[in-house]
Amino acid sequence: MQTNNSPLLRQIDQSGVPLLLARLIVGCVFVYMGALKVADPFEFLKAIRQFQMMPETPGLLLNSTAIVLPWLEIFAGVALVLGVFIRGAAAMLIVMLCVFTPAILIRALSIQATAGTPFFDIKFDCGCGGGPVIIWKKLLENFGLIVLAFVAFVSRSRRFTLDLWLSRRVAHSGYCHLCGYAAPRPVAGLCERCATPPAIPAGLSAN
Amino acid sequence: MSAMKKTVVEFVLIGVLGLAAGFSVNAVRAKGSVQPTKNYFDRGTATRAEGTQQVAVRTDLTAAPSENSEPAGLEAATPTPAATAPTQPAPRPVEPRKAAKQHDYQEIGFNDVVAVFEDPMTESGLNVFVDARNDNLFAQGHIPGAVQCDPYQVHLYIDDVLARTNGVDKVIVYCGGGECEDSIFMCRELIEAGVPEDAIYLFAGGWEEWLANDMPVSQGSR
Repeated sequence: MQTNNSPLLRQIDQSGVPLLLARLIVGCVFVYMGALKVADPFEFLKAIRQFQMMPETPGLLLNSTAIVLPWLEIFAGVALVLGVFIRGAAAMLIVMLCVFTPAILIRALSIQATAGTPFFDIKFDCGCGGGPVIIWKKLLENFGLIVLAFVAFVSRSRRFTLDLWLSRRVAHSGYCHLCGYAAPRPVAGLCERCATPPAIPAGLSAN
Repeated sequence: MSAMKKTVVEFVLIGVLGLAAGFSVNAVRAKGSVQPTKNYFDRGTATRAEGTQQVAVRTDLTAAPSENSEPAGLEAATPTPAATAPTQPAPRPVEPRKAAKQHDYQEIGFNDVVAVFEDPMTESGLNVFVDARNDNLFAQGHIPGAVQCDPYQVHLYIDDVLARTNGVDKVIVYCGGGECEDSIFMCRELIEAGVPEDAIYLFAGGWEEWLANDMPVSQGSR
């Protein structure tokens, strides 16, 4: 995370745990959802048509979205789980979530206005995979996914990632071999911070 | 490479991979292949009912009325001059049904569907039910004797359907009911495949209404 001004946040981020959790949760969810959509592309096609974001005639844009989008989810999800192309994958998922979450909200509000259904009872197939869902829960879930994808996007740590594992096989990989942070000028494979020995507090000495 | 540039490269790379995988898999898969340029949601137009949403459906069959069903016979939302020709018996006054779905095909109400279902002609194959839902839903339950045809993958099913519908009196098309519009698209596909338009009837209530009235159900795939 961009935590230069907060040593505590930097320490938490440097542990790699927030990134690991964010990667695994978001990655697994999108791989699963993407696989469901690939298995039944016409259900997904029908669901995205309901949002009326794309023209039905010609069908090229709508149909291509149904063909490609599930695979984007799968590739971005796999990239996050493995820990490669983390920022690119997180950015792609953030873009998707930020397009479809408002669309789901707008459709739910439209159903509420036309059918008079209470908002918390509205249920439809939002094309998220898994068929009809309670919409307020889906909106909350998407909000959580956006936050986690954002954590993956801004985290500077590369611990527990394939990226770091691969970089350790390269002399000047650009990452610190200890904390996984970017190290443009590594000292024995470590970033400046990890290579610098901790200062001895005043009052303590070797004697 | 700056962090921003690297992110953009990664973003584009994932996009290209997704694009390539999507279209490649779509091209080679036998089932579930989406035709990129086809408009799957074209409702089509019925020539016999031009300018109308629904036309009257005449069935000379009688069905035993049930508690939660309308009287058997003629059910029409907006009878048209073409459908109420002078030579035909005058329609019995019935409560007009709400045209929930926008289409040009002739609709058939639940009571008439029951009448057709119980008609011996149906058992002998002279009336056919076409289930316009996907494989999973069809396997879970369908109207006994119905032939399945997924309107999004017509080429996989149409031979069976044409074999069953050749020369029949009525082809009753249904899907899930409620918001489902697949039966409308199925009607268009059937007409394009050469099924006579006059024989096609759309059962808008669909599977939902059939189940709600405790009607017989068959299970298993086609």
